[in-house]
Amino acid sequence: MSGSLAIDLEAVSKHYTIYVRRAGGLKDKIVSRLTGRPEVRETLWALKDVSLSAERGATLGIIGANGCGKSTLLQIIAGILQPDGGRIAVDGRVTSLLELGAGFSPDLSGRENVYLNASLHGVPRQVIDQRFDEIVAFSGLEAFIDSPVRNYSSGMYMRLGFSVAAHLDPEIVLIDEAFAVGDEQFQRKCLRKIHDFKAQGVTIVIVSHDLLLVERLSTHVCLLDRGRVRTFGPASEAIARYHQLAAGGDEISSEIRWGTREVTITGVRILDERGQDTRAFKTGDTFRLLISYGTTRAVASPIFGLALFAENGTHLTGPNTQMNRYPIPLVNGAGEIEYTVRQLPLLPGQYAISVSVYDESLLHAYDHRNRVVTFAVVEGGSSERFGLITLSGEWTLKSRAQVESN
Amino acid sequence: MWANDARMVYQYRELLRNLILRDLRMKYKGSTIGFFWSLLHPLTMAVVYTVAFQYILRIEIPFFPLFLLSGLLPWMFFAQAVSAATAAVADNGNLVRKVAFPRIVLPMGAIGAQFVQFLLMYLVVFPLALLIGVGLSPALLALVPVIVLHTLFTIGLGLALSTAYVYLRDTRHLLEVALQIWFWLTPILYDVSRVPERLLPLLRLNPMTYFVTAYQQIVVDHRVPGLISMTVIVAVTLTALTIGVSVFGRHQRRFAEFV
Repeated sequence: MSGSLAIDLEAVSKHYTIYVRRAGGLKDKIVSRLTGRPEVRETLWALKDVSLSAERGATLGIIGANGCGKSTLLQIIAGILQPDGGRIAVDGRVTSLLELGAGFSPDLSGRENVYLNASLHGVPRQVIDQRFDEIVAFSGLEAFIDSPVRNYSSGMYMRLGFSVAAHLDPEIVLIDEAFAVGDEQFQRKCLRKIHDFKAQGVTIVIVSHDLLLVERLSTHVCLLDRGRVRTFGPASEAIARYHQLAAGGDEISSEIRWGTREVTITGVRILDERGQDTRAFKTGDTFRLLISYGTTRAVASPIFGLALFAENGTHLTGPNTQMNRYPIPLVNGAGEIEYTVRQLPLLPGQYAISVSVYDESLLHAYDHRNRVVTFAVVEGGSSERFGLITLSGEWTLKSRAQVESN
Repeated sequence: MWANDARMVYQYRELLRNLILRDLRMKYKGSTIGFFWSLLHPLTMAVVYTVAFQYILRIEIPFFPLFLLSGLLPWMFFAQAVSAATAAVADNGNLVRKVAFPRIVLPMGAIGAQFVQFLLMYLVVFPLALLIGVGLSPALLALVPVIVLHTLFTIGLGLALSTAYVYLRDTRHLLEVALQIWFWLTPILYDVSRVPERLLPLLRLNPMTYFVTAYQQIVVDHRVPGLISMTVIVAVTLTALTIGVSVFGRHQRRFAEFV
C-alpha cells in the first residue's frame, strides 16, 4: 500500500449464508440430525471482487440501489465485518457515523454515555475531559446532559451520538445517510462539520441516496450494483452512469418480477408535463407514468395497477384500473396505458414504483414488476418539509368574535 | 497471541473501566445501600447453613461460618462472573454490530464488575476471623496469588463460554444446570475429609475443589497451599486461559454476523 492511500481494497468479497431451513437452537440441531433433514443454506454474495481506494484527505462517495452492498462495504471498512476474500488496508483511526448513538445505554446519563461512547472508539479519558464541554455545546443538550438517555427523543439521541463521533479527532470518517438527523438547523451543523473534516484533510467515505450531496462532497464515487463495482471514478462520471442505469439502460435495481405473461409490461417511462422523460420532479408538478404492454393473445378484462413506495419501503398508495372505475374490456397486441397525476403531492425524497397487470380477480398475475422504476422529488416545489406528502390544505384563522357572529 | 490480546485490552482500558462502571451503576442505581444488599445474600446463607449444619445436623466443622464464607464468596464470584461473561457478547449485539472494538473487552468487563464486588465482599472475612477467634496471620497474603489465578481461570472459562453462546443460545441454560451440580461437587458446605472414598475422585477432577480448598486453608487454618495443589491450580488456570483466549480469538472476527 502506498503511503498516500488511507483506504485500499483489493478484490474484497463477502458472502452471507442464508438459512432456508435453519437449526437455531440445540433442539433444532438435534432434530435436524435425527430426522435426516439437514439445514438448508444458500450463499448470497453481498460483495464480489470489490476494488477501490481513497487517498488521504479524499472524499469517497458510494452510491447504488438498496441492497447493492453499500452498508456491508462500510462495515468492512469500519472493521466490523471481516471479508471472506480479498485484501483490505485501512490506515488511520476510523470513526463511523453508521448508527449514531448505537453504543448508548438507556439507563446511563448523557454524560456517562459520552464517556462510554468515546471509549468504545479507544479514546483516552483525558481527551474526552478536554472535549466534553465542546461536545455538549455542539449537541445543544446542555440542559439534559445529566438525565438518563432513555428520556431523550430519538432526535436528541442522534444529536448526542453525532456530537461525540464528530469530536474524536478521526482520521477516517464513515458516514451513512443516517447522519442527516434532527431539525434543519442541526442538519446544517452536521454538514458544516463534514466540510470542516474535509478542510482538515480527514478522509471521508459517504454513503447516501442523496446524489446531489454525494456529488457536492465527493472527489471519487463508486457505483455498486448487486455487490459489484459498476463504475469507480470522478463523481460526475459515476453519477451520470447511475442515472443512465436507473433510466433503464441496464436494470440497476434487483427487480423482482413474476407472472404468466399473457400480458407483458414491456416498458415503464416517467414523463413530465411536456412528455419528456425525467427522473426528478418538484412537489406540485404534473407526473405521468407511461406503461407499454404487449400480449400473446387477446386478454379480456385485464387490470393495470401500480404501487408507490417511499424510500423506507412505506407503501404510499396503490391505484388500479378497477378501483378507479376505468374498465378495460380487452387488450390484444401492443399498446400503452398512462397514469397521470395533475399535481404531485409528494414531498422531496426518493420514490419507487411497482407496475403490474392482473386478471379480473386480481389473484392471477400476468406480469408484476416490483419496483421497476424510481424517481426523485427535489426541493423547490413546496415550502412544506415534514413527512412524505402535502395535503395542500388551507389555514383559516377566526377570532372568537368572528366565530360567534356567524 | 497473548501479547496482542493484552495490548488490545490495555489500549481499550478506558472502555473496560466504563463497562465495569456501567455494570455496577446499573446494579446499584437508586439504592443507597445497594452494595450491602449484595452482601446480605452470602451472609444470610452463612447464618442459615450454620444453624442447619451445626445445630440441627450437628456436623462439626471448626469455625464453620468462617469456613463457609471463605469458600462460598469465591464460588459465587466464579459462578456469577462466568454467567455474566457468557452473555456479554451476545447481549451487547448492538455494540458488536455497529462499532469495531476488541470484543474481548465485553466478557472482561462483565467479569471485572463481578471481581470488584467480590474483592469488597471478601473483606468481611477478616473481621469475622477476628470475631470468632481465628485471628489474622501473614499467611493471608497467600490469598493474593490465589485470587489472581482464580480470576484468570474464570476469564478463561468465561471467554470460551461467551464464544459458545454466540452460536448456541442453549449454552446459558446448560451452564445454569451445570453450575448447580458443580456447586455441590465442590467442598464449600462440607470439607473433603467427610466425603466418602467412592466420591473422592469426582472431587479431585473438579478444578474448583483446589481453588476453594486453598481459600479455606489460608483463611481458616492460616496455611499456605502446598506445592502439589499450587501446581494443579497453575496448570488448570493456564489450560483454561489458553483454551478461552484461543477460542475467543479465533471467532471474535465473525461475531458481528451472528449476534
